[in-house]
Amino acid sequence: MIKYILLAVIAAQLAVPALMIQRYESTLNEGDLYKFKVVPIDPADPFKGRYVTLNFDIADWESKYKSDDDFQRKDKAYASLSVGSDGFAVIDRLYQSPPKQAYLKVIIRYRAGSTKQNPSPSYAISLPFNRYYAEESKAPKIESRLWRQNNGAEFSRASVDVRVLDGLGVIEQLYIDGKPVEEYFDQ
Amino acid sequence: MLDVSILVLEKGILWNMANKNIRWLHSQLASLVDKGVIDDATSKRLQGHYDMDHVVADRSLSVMTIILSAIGGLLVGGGVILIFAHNWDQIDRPMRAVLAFTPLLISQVLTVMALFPRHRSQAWNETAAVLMFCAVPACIALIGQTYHISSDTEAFLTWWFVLLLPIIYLLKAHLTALLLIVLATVLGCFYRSPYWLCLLALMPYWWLVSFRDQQSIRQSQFAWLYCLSLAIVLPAIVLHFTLFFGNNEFMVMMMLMLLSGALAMYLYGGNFEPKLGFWKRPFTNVGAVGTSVCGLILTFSDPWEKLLGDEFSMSDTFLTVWHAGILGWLLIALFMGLLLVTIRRAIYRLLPFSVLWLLVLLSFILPDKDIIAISLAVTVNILMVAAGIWYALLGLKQHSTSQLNFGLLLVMSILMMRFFDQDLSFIGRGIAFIVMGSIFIAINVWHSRRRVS
Repeated sequence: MIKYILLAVIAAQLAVPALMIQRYESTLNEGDLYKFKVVPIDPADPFKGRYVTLNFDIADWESKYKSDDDFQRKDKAYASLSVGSDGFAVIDRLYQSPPKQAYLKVIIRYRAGSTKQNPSPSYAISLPFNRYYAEESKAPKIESRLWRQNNGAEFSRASVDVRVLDGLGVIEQLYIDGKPVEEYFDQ
Repeated sequence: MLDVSILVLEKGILWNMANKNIRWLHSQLASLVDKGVIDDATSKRLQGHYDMDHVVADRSLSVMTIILSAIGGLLVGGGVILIFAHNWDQIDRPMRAVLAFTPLLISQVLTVMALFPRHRSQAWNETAAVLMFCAVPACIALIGQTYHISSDTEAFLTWWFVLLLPIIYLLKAHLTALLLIVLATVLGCFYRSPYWLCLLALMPYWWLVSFRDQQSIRQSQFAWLYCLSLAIVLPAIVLHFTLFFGNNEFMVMMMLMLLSGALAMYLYGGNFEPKLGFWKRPFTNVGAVGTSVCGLILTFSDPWEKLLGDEFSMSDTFLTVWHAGILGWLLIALFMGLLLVTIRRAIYRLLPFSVLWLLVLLSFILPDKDIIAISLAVTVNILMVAAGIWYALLGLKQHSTSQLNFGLLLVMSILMMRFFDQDLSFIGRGIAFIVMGSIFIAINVWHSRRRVS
């Protein structure tokens, strides 16, 4: 009996991380590529190491989106995704169920109430990916180069490539001035 | 490596010392028998006796081995996590996956080997379990790092707990069990209900160690940490769902749940824990402190005014969230059950604190009037002072400093609270203080006369 329980535990301990890898690998391999404008800031995680938090221009407090459906704070929503004229990803509308075009699963950050000028409510969102893990010496540099020098208002120097499949987005690469961040600091 | 070499060294030194003394005694025994100091039978008994001591020495050595190997395992595991956290650019994704699974696989192999009769030793069990305790989060964290997954700390901690829980039962790994209590406390405190289920899932382990040996260090360590964890997690959950998340009111159900939890611990301890020894009675002590804190809150009339104005409703936020509601009813049922057990076993000395619970329940039916709120507060004051004095006397009688101090602390806390209570008039406070002071002196005089006689 103990043997079988132990085998089940070992199998579960291996399956949980293996399924995580499978899900993210399939998105990276088969997902569509989108570019997002970002601003990185740097904190640390005791288990996963140093990372830069990415502030996305399409998911900041100012960017709000319309929807035919009604959402509350912290609700899950589907955001339809397309590519803008500058080549970067844009979000069009929010839906309660997956739309036919490409989409991302997002979380409603807050609901802006209806006003006279703007009768229907609109929603600010947060994206499910906002961390870029970097080598412990590089993460603070990324932040000091981009955030402190530009007072955090600059969305033009940094961007990320994100692979999107079935609503799941996985960050592939962070770029600064068009160069992969690792190469940028190796120079 | 360092730990292993220290271990080998210490084992060698202790082994040599024990052997040396026994050899010396053996050499002396023959001459002692010759000189007629002891007879042959005594010599044989001594030999037998020191063989037994040998076993004891060996046992203390194995406890040392267990502690050192467990700490060694924890250090190695922590080191692995930190090295992974460095995050190398050069390592590609497949290699990172291999790196993530390597410590986990090693700890799993050690765990499987621990269950083979050839390797059956507590030191091995502790090391394997503690390594696994570090390898599981390290693996998940490294995958999170590789795919830049946004942190979901709640899910991370929950997986960590769930994937490790069966191991403490399979290997009876003590240090890992203690670490899981800490993990469950963090989950319960920061993410609240339903994470009280984690503490519930650890309860069978406590029965396992208690069943084996009521007085063991393992049992008392686990029970203390478990009680302290309950004392943190239960109020965190109840207060979150009532005061902060709910209707922002001081409610009867909230007070009943808090009191039920504290009283259930107190009654359980009083019924089933040894009667003496502070460290042997975690449930009694933590339960008594919890009940006293609730009691001290109820010595004010403000909470009573709110309680009297509260009406029972099944739509209270606490009861609509199913897992929090179950916890509430479970605590109340547990208290009632233990109260029944206490009455059946006729241990009436445990009952006075339970009056608090009945008073709170009464506030459902009593009319919402100021005079009733004040009378209830006065009743609780008298009850708590009486409980304090009774505890102090019990401490004196049983020569237990902890009980004496607890009783005195309880009385002092109430005196301090009333002294600064702005709702009471100066004359009222003055008279009450004189009366209480007189009772104090009277009891002292009575006690000293009794001792003299």
